[in-house]
Amino acid sequence: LVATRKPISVDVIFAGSIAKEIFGEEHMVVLLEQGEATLEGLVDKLDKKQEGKISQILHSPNISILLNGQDIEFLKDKNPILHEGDRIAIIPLVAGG
Amino acid sequence: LAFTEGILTLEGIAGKLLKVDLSRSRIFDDKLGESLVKDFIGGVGIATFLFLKTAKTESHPLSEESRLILMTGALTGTGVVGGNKTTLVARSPLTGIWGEATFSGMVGIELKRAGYDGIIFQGRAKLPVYLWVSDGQAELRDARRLWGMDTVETCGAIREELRLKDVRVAAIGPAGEKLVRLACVMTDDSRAAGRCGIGAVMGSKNLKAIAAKGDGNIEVADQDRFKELNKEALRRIAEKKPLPFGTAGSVVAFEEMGNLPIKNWTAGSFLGASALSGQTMAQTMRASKKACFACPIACGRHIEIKDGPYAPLQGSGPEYETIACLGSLCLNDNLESIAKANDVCNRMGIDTISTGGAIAFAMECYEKGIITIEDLGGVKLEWGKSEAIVEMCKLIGKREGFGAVLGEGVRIAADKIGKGAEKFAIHVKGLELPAHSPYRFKEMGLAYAVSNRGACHNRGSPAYVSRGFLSPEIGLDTKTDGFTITGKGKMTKIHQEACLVTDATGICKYVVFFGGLDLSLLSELYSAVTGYQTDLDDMMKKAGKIWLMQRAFNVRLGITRKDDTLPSRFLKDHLKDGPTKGQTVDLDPMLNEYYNERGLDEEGKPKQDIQENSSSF
Repeated sequence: LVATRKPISVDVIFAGSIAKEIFGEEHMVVLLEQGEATLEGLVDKLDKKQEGKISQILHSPNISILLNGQDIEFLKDKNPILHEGDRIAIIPLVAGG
Repeated sequence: LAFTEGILTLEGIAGKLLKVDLSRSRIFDDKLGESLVKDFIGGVGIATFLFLKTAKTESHPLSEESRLILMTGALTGTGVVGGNKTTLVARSPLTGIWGEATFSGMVGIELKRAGYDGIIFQGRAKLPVYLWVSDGQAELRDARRLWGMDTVETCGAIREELRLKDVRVAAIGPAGEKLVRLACVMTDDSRAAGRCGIGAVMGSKNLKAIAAKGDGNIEVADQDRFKELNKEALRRIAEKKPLPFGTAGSVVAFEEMGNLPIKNWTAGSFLGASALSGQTMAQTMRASKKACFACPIACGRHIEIKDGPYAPLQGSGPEYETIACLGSLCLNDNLESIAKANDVCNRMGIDTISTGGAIAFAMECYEKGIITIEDLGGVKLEWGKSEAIVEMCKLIGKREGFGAVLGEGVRIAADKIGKGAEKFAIHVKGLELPAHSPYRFKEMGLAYAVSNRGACHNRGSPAYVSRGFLSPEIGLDTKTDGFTITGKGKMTKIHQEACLVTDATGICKYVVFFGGLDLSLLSELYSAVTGYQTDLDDMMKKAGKIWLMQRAFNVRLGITRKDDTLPSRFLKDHLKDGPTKGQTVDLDPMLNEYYNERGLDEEGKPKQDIQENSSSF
């Protein structure tokens, strides 16, 4: 018998000025299969859907990725494993306030 | 007076002050001495000196002998990008300590064009008056018929009376007249000198408004250099294009990162954030850009609501702080109600940050059964009840019903209510918290704890660095983790001084920190405009001295380490959800580092006698 795992579901949020004008939406739910449930796996999957836009924009120093509110830049593991219900926010420098 | 001596050879500033004795209905001209400009830069720096020189520390903020100082920034009105700020300084009736509010209305620019850099008010008029300044002349005019008018009506009535459409006005509303401690000063271009209850100080002096119109030129020392530097500033802003959706464009991102205040700071996530965003405002309220003088960023918004319970409504849209404090802080996701509450606050003349904080405090007290529906006069302040929020704003502004209690600010309101209400009063030194979370950005917790005017996000906003807005020219060249505390003492001190430099020069912080007109360029512009050759290092040192002078004033009023703290929930209580789940603020180590950097002793007192060592005193 081969054990099978259900895909996990994560929320991806595009906030600020990059939301609708670049991605056309602010929020999407993404299903990740076993083996791709990492941040890099998510970016690959989104890139396929968004024609490479994600990895392109992530190269900018003015973009941050938050995993459940934590800035990836300050996590030890820059390619963390994702879990069911995780929120991944891709945000530009947020001025204001 | 000593500070008026010396011939002024610098440009960019008018070189004159008005001294208005309201008790005797007399107005004097004073010179602004050159050494004062050189020592204190301008704006809040000079206002700090003038206040400490002319005011008695112990004077009650609302007494006849209290002082109120208005000072324009050194570069205000010169055409420097973002050069539009003016500062009001007084002892705060809300906090009882150093009170200060900086605003970007046109009235300061018109004052300078009329030949004056600032005004020193003393005394109390026997009957309501307003000050009218035009081209080297000033007079106190009868304001009895204006008394009771809201701020918009007041500004319009003054323009009509003077028969000048382009006269600019800063006025108080009914709240200031009734000495509501949350009262602000509003300008006719809808900008607020919001915090610290300065509107009540004006009200206590029977001073309804300040109106100004000038036709004079504000000279610049080195035109060619000025144009070259200003062009570079404009180029940088055009490249960065900050705040495309105004300040409210940050709401969703702030909620995602755990920076948004929710349910009087007891919750970590809010499903209504998207409904409150600048993007939603653009879609649903026909929001259009609204700019201050000489600013290409245009972070303000003009809105229009045509339908629904809050229609018709046309005017300035709510800013991020207002949206957060009258919105998520109260669990209110109805943006139209926030726009209406904002309009009510602006017209009545009350600070939207403190008003939101006071209403959220009352909501928590009501939830806990500490106050009843009878106490509230039937205004059911349940979480998220937008109609009740709007109604309570009106009552605070009119000082009626339970609004009379909340208008005292949460610290005094909690004392009056008793029954443990102080646990829910979220303030530092009596000033309600603005909308950036100390759970998320520990350095903001420190900045709130040590700001001279109480919890403030504009007298040092070190979280800019953790959000990626770096200022390498002052050593803040690396993005930091907002969840950590190491190095935050030094970082906060530096950012406080940077903010003092912007307020003293009169340049908007957004232009400097978000727009790329960095502090080095600003110091060069200062030299080009004034003709006084200085540099950023020198200006930062002066800013440090100004900060210590304000601190010394607070120390004389009894402020010590025990006051440099945060509401206990940030120190002890964990949030149960969201990005800041489980966080608290470990304040003491940051405070120790900060005191060390600042040259304060363990109790927070300046180690040197600031007064004696200041050459200008």
